Amino acid sequence: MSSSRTETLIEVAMPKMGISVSEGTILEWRKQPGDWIEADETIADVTTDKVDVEIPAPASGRLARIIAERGDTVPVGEPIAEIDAEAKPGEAHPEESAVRSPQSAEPEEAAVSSPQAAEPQKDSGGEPDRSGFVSPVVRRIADKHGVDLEQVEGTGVGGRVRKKDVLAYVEANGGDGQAKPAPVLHSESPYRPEESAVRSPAEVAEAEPVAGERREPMTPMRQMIAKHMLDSRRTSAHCTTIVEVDMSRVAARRAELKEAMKRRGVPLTYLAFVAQATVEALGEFPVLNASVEGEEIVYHDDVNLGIAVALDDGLIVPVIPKAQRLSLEGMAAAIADVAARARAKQLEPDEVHGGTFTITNPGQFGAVLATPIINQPQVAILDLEAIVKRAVVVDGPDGDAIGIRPMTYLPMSWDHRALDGAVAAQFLSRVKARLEGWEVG
Amino acid sequence: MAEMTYLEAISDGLREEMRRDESVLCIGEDIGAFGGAFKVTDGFIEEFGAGRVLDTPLAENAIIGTAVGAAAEGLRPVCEMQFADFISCGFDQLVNVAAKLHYRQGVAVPMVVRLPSGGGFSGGPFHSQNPEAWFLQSPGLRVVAPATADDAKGLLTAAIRDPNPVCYMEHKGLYRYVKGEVPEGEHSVELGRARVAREGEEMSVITYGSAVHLALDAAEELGEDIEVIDLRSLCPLDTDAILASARKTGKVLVAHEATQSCGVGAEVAALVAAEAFEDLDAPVRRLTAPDVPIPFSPPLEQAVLPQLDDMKEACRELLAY
Repeated sequence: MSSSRTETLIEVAMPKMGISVSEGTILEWRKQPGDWIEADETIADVTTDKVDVEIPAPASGRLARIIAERGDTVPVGEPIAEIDAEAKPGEAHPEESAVRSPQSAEPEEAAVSSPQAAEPQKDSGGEPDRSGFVSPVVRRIADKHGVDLEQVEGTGVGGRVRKKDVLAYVEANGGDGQAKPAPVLHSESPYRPEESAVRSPAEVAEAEPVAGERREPMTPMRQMIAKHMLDSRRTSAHCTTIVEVDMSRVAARRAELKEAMKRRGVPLTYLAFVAQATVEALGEFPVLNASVEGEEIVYHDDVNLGIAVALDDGLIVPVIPKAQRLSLEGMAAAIADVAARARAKQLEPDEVHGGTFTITNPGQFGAVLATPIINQPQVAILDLEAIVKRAVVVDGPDGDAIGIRPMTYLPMSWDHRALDGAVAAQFLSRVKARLEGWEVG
Repeated sequence: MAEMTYLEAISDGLREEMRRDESVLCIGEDIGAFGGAFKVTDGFIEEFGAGRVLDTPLAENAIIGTAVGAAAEGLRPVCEMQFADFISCGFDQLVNVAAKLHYRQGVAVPMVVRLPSGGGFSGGPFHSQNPEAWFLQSPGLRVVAPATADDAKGLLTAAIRDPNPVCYMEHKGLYRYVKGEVPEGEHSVELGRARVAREGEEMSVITYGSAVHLALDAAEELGEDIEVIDLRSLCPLDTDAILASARKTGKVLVAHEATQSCGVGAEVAALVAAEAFEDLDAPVRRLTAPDVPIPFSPPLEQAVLPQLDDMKEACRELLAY
């Protein structure tokens, strides 16, 4: 950016987003060159192959230059933008005030033009003038009611505007006498870059629309899922084995524990029981808690359990590390925690990395059977389907009888490169036996 | 209701619990035949017998240790330190054994240690301390500090019934200075609940123990709209009550007689700064004793302990801010 004005430029770098992340892609710029930015305000959204991250401004100032355009992929630590930290809020952007002489932007004059410094010193009876200091609560009340604090007489120490002063002003003026819809901290620059400057290559290359159709670019998450699923299909020799499970005892145990856990803030789901049974069975069948690398099978000591969480616009698999250490309540709490944070998009990049086995749970949406795709580089994925009451043959007092039981299917897709059908069936039978024999009371 | 002094209310609460529950017993130095250094257990040995009112040698570690064992076996001992200062001799049993037994072995330790604390009577450095912050650094202990006769009884009852070891800070300066209506019979005040001692809009004094009375007197004499929060429990701390008051007034003074560094005031100030920052209209201030031992000399002691004038000045400054 060519400017005759002296600028102190602060570089905005692609931040470190976890140990496993080496680069990020600019999803969107929230600020444009010329915009005023407060320190820590989000200036851009960045996506990694794991999660989306908001980039905070490292300093207050005016966005001087965008280096990485939307869609660009930038290594961690490389610059993506520059902020002019010498700029003042409310001051016109240099681009739109080319008529100014170079001297007009000398620091001392810039300081005088700032609204706070321009105010005449109030008579404060020998005390240092504190009329420029604004406490957090005063700032908040002023913003809420659109009050220009310049207009409020301060009765605090050194002429400071106190909470009671701004409240009295709002009371007297109804908050609208001087109300401004925009934040009063600074006036927004009208400068906007040309539209073409921010159009991504994808938008430019977009096909012409056809009547009766609507085209939308895939979100980065959608593209990532598409790539991972196809890669997995190409990589593993997928095979699916299914067992049927009577969940009566689990249902009974859940009913016993649910209220007490709820009081402790832990929602106890069927998924937690299935996860617990699965993790236990993985201890007996280590080949299912493994990865295939070339011609070797890598066995993992820890069960890092992936839990597939459906989002509005996709899917994410946060990982519960060392799940073998968790009690049932610990498991339930961990699942609730990662699911809630996944939905709130608050996962750290490292939390969706390093899984050794995954459980997916489409049953919550009513499905009864599915053949899931393995989450690479794992060798199996277990699927909890809907629990529905079915008429089944049970042991009655006089031999076989028909009973109504809460039943479910547990399909598991597994990699035939790493194991065979007998092991998959034995593993699932172990999970089934655990769930059907859950201790009650 | 009956009017009692703070001291009588402690006695009344203890007697009531001993009558109600046979597992409650008292243990301490000269608490039996002599009736206690401050006469809290006067007449107890006649009513309950030497089996439940145990006189011990001058060995605080033995008092606390005996109580831990009794509590682990299901009794509810109430230990008396002649002065809170002497708890240092029983510290190991208290902070390493009583506080941690439940965490280590799942064993509840339902015991109370009564700690006559505070200065103002020329007791000097060994008989005037307010050592509550020592215990707040020891997870597993609960700490209460009543300011009124009503709470003196109610908090003692709750402390005896609580399954945790509770340090009960009773301020010697309030023993006969504070009087009030106290419910007769069973009376318990929930641990972890602060009390709005005086409602106000302009600033909050968040305090406990003897400083509650300084704050109330200062508010009256200044005639200002000052809110006074009596914490009553220091652990668990009633964070909701603290934050509600801080958010309402935007100005917080934390006051206590104990020394300043790393004390309750520091904890409350940090909480308010972290959780109520956007509601603050002034810096959070503290009024405490400076970080020095309590002097014998009456003028020096007065200079060290917060006085009414200090409280009024601190309030005036914050109100003017």
